[in-house]
Amino acid sequence: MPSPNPMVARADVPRRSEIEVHQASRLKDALEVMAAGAAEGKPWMPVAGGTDLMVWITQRRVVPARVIDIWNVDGMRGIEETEGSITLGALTSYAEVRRSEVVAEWVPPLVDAARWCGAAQIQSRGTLGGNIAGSSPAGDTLPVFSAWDAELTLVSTAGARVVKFADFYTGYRQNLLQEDELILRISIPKPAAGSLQVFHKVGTRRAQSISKVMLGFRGHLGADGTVEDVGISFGSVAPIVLRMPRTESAVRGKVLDTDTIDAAVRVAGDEVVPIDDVRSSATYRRRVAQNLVRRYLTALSKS
Amino acid sequence: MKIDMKVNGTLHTVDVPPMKRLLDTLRDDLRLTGTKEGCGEGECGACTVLIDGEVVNSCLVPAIQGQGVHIVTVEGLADGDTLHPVQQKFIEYVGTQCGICTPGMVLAAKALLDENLSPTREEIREAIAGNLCRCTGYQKIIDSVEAAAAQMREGANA
Ligand SMILES: Cc1cc2nc3c(=O)[nH]c(=O)nc-3n(C[C@H](O)[C@H](O)[C@H](O)COP(=O)(O)OP(=O)(O)OC[C@H]3O[C@@H](n4cnc5c(N)ncnc54)[C@H](O)[C@@H]3O)c2cc1C
Ligand code: FES
Ligand code: FES
Repeated sequence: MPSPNPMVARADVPRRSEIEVHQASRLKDALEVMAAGAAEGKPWMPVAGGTDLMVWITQRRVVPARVIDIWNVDGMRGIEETEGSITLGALTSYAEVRRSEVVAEWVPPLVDAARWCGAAQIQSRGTLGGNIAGSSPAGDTLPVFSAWDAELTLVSTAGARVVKFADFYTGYRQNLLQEDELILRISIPKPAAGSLQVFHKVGTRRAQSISKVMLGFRGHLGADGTVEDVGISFGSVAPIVLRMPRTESAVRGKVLDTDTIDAAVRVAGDEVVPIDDVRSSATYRRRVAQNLVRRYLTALSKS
Repeated sequence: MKIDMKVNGTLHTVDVPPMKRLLDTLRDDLRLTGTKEGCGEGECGACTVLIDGEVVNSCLVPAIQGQGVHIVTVEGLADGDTLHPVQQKFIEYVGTQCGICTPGMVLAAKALLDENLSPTREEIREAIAGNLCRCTGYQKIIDSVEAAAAQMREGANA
């Protein structure tokens, strides 16, 4: 489903007071209402924490005719640990991520990303599902989900389907969600013990700022000192969150000596496709991305 | 739509469009005008209230999400004529000038101190990072919160 482009203000939208609202408390009920709406050509747009949607409505960029409030829907919240992965309900807030011992133990960069999303007020309400579905290339948690090979479970009355996070975005603000579908949960495979795991946000200030560049980085050296596993993703350097397979290939299976790192940094410069905008120039973003690749490959070589 | 919301301990029923901002519901329908509007876009924190103890921007909460929760606004902090320690210390340490940011600052500080009675100055800064103040330069606000923490620690030990 193309996500509405919230960067464009529109005149032909309903007034706030005209929005029809359904409040759901059970998942089955929410999905049935959404299926019926989609079938009659009047879809329901979910609101979770509202930290994106309420701003879009105020600025008259996206004003849906119908909103379904999913904040209290059962079975969409909470963090669980299984043998190979950790699973987070789509309604899990940044505040819950920050409080979670499971996330801190297995994927600490997600805690760092949550810590610098907006400020406390945003973290109480903003959800992981909203960050993903909102489809902004500047979504702070997205480089972590991308580099850690996360999977999403999407549900509708037709059932559940699991999609790779890597396949979820199909273009700028476009994703695989159908009009009658919700993101139910996110599952992240546990990285190998001893992995270097990093989230790095570059912005004008740490809190309450839209990132200029963010990096999600995880890597692991084998017993012989070569790179056994690596995942590198950037936010805000391309129309969608960008996994860096060519940069990863430049180091996977190799010893991280100076030549290898230099070569990977060159590849990274080609692999990002940043734009100039009000926050930064493309040149700046490319340079920052390359510096971050160098910094964390060097750290990995010493790990 | 009729929505039941508990505000500062009292149950109210309001009849409002469900996507109306909680901010406007508090100010227009419940006449609780202590909660301020600054940016209307989640950036400034002037509209901060507590929902079930958590800080939120009321300009980003649809009224319907006020159903069944407990909302605390700045009007709910004082106990009769006795100000909450955070309010008292904002006066003593001049943590307020024009006052627009103050209700939100005070609530963000209270939420911090409810969880952590011995915050560092850095932790105080992080807790109020979503509350912008164009007057004080922040140092006196941080002084006020530190002083309130000290008083509340004394109260807790007494
Ligand atoms: C002041 C401010 C600062 C911010 N700072 C940051 C920041 O630093 N980093 C960052 O990444 N973001 C930031 N944001 C953006 C926003 O807070 C996050 O994207 C947040 O995660 C959105 O979650 P939500 O639950 O509030 O989404 P909502 O506003 O409720 O929804 C957003 C979109 O997602 C859809 N949606 C939500 N949940 C689901 C679901 N389960 N299934 C299907 N669709 C769904 C909605 O229909 C809507 O289209 C900021 C916002 C503000 C106002
Ligand atoms: S008015 Fe709500 S954050 Fe500024
Ligand atoms: S006292 Fe004026 S904005 Fe803070």
